[in-house]
Amino acid sequence: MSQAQAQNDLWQEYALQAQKGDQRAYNALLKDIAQFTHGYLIGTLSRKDWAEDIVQDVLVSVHKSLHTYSAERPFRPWLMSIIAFRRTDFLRKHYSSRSHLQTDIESPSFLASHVTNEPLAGEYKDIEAALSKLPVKQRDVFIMTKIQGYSIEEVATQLGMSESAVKVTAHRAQNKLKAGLG
Amino acid sequence: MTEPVYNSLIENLTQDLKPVRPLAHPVVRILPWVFLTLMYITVAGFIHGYRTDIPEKLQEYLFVFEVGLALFIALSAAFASAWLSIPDARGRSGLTAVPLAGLFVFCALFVFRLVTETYDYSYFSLAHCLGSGVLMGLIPGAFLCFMMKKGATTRPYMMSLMNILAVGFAGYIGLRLTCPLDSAMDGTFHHLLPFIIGGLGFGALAQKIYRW
Repeated sequence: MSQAQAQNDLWQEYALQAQKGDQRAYNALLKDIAQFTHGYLIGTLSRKDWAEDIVQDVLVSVHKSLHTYSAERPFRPWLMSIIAFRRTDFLRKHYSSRSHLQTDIESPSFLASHVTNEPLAGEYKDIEAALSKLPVKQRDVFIMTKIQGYSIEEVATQLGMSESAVKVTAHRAQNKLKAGLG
Repeated sequence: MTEPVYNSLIENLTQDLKPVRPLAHPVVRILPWVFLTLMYITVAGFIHGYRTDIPEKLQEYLFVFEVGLALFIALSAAFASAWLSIPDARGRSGLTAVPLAGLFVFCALFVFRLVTETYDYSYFSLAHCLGSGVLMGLIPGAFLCFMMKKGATTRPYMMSLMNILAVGFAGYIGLRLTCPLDSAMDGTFHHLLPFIIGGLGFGALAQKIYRW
């Protein structure tokens, strides 16, 4: 008997006992499933934390759908269909929420491509100097919209300006900075 | 050795375990729906009133073939739904091809008839069989959905399509036995459109309805 067949038979027996309420068999089954699923997913996903999230989803799904398993059927295809479903569901939600476009601020690749290197830190001083030459209102609008990331609507509310005035002020500030920085 | 991150969840799920009764075989689970839906459509037909020319229509090959094909699609889609309500469909997810093949033949027949038949537009009204369509489809649809939610499907969109085919074609049979309008144009707009519109709404909500 192959190892996969032996494992399947063992899971089948665990699942049958779990359906009858045997907590020890169920605990052993869930531990086996967690280990197997983690090993399977880690090879197909680029991030370990994704695999951990999906394994937890799979464990909860197995718990919710234990009654749909039939002891006369092999356990592994039943489990694999749940894993595939939860994996697809997780990735669909992840990509639809655009969280794949976010990055950790400490990520080395992000730092290398988006943050000025220490030897070139003098650039900051030029920007700060150019900013300090702007009129107060233009500087505030520029900092809030372009650096702090507030929306036009939020800046307009906070500074008591119309949205179009905020847009015009931010644009003028940007042009002056471009001119000031050469 | 299990990763430590899962241990507390596994302990919680283990503590939460209660004995469960395994779901019956899909055939056993779907038979009550088949029986009750056929009964329901028969009774709804009596309430609505059957068309008076049924004995003559049963002599027409086209009518018998059309109703027989609709019955085949409804039954095969209902059975496919029952299998799809199990995560791995018990290895029979290919069953969905059976009602889809029937649907293909049905659509081909309808397109052919739409092209070749002439139609009297004086009967045309989108609301003609709307009430009857709702009567024929709503209760069997709700009952089928309730039964399938006892399972756990991993293919919610295919499940909703099978549900729509089962309920839509069961209702279509009911409408064909009660409404005297026979042309393909009537069939499309008066007898199928209510189920298509209802089905689109149901399909759009499939992920939410079959979430588990």
